[in-house]
Amino acid sequence: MRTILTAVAVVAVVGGITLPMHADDVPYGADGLPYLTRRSTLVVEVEDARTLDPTRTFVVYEVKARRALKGTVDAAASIVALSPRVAGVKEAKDLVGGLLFLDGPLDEAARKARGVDRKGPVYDVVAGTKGAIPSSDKGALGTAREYLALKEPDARLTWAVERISNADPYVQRSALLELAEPTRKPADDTVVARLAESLRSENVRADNKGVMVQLLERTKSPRATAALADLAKTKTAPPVLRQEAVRALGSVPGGDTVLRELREGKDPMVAPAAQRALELIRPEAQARPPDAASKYRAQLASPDARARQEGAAALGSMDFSAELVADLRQSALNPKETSQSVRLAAVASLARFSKKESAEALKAVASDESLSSSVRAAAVMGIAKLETGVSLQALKELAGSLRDPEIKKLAAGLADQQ
Amino acid sequence: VTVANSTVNATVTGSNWQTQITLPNGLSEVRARQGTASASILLTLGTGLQSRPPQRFRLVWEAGVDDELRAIARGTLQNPTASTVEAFVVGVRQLTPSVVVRAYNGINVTETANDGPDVHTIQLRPSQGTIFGQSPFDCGNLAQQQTSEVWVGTYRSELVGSFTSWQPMEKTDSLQTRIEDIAEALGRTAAHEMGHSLGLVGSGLGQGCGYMRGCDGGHNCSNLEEQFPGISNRFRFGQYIMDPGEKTSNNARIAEPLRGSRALVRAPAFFNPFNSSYLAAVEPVP
Repeated sequence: MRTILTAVAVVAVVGGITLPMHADDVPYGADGLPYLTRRSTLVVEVEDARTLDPTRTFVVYEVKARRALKGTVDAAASIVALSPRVAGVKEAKDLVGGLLFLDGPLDEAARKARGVDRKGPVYDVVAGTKGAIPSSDKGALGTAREYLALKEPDARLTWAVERISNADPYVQRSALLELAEPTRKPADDTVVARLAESLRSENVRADNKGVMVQLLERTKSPRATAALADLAKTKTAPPVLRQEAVRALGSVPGGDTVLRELREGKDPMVAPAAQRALELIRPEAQARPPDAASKYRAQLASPDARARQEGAAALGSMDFSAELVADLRQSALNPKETSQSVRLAAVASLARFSKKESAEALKAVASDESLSSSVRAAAVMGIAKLETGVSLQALKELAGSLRDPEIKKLAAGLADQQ
Repeated sequence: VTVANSTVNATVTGSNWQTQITLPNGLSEVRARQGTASASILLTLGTGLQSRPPQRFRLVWEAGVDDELRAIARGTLQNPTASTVEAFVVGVRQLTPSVVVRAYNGINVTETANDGPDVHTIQLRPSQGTIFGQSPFDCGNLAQQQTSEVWVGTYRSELVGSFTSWQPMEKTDSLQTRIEDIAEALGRTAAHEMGHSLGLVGSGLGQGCGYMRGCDGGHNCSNLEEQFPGISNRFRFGQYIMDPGEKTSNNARIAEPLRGSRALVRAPAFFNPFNSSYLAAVEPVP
């Protein structure tokens, strides 16, 4: 049965070869021209391309370049380009006349790691399939050529600001991601004003408006606060975006005042999000019913591991008491406890009380060799979070007494830092 | 209760609604109406899913990864001592598995040390490139013994080379803060990649599980938020584990909800309700 099931596993056909399909995780903004350009050492217009034998995880192209738009290439020579075998991977024929953003050439160790045994220059396609623009995508090709022709940061900034609300989502996204480039300082007033204005544009896609929200959050400008508040209150805006604006208000000046206002309002879409956002920045914002501590302490004895974990996690937000710490200590050390998540939650809660009692409890967890090394390491980390006066002595003692060399090294390093 | 263009009556007892409706495959908006009040939910009818035997996973730290971790410590902390750097390596290696365990809490996916026919191996590799990880997509988790990759070298390159884009990280952060940052990032990618190999998120690109309506290369689809505003709840700019990497902000990768400053508590990414439902169907806890 297993063989039959495996035989119908998902496959892709590339260059006539049938392969299992992969999926990947790429860095933020990897679908935009700023990232592709910054991370490529070579950008070429493709004259000809064919598919070679794949590796376990990569499609392998042999490419002849017509010319380089970034870097240099020998038009007479072939280069090898690797693209993870993910959804959207291109057929070689589709690349002819298109653009490839390439990172390399790869050294011997990198080739070996990718399972490629080829002579001549070997490159990664930047961000998997995203660095391959096929000839059929005329709009993206035109935009890419336009962007690549801009060499100076100021010219790219001007290009971006003019295109924030461009009708083409690809252009919009690249323009916004240009503003988010790591080398750019938080935007000046002109850019903030443009972002604030574009948040209301119907031309801009919701996920691109999400980039705007993050950019405004980064500026820490009062104008950003006003724009984010306006978006949070706009009932016709997509809820996901309104909630993102509420979250971002936690980072900007005066945002907490707006959050309190939203929390007290009747809007079911944003009031709970405002409460959550306030809890992230204001300790007093956490709602604590009078009987909460006893309820959570009772949960520690539940037969349901999830309830025990929730109880242990919630106790970290309660006021300190010796009894509460004793209960958490028991949860973390209980030899009958079957769930590592419960122990970790108890350890995390203990670390939130900067008291001698919690340091002692965490020391006991760190020293208990019947527990997993992850739990013991979490306990050592927890001690380091306590006030220095409490933690330094405990860390030094552990660095001297622990037998596990790895956990000992962790304690020593944390003590050294303090 | 209305689905597509057909409306049927429901029996309402308190807050319980009972009726029988025939759902088409894929996504359906189900609207319930009583008097002038109404509310909608989004239901997905999947096909061909079976519960699979319990899934186990293991993390394998390949040779060369420790050097990448040391480079992260040196490149993102202010003047770390040798013992601080070594403690960083130990701390990240110890805490990362807990992040994966936490992500799959409530699903029958558990950690193990050894390989086996039911074990998914997550290789933490020193590789550097422009991806953080990759894994075989496997609708329905038909093959339980598979391998995912997490590229620690890419994290090193992005963190050290573009440090300012990782706010609220600051070079003055404490050692324990940075250990948690990196363990959260690596653990998140590990959980994300294993999620692909358990069958998340099928798309219309011939991958199988197309009813999930994933996009951006098999991830939670941001477009659904515009198609079904307020009821989709599939995509949250990186706050959900299976959101596409290119739309996942760096602060979300390190479980920090804000960019401007550290929050009082971390807010780790989690599987959205739809992804969780799928995982619970494929890997149910007995």
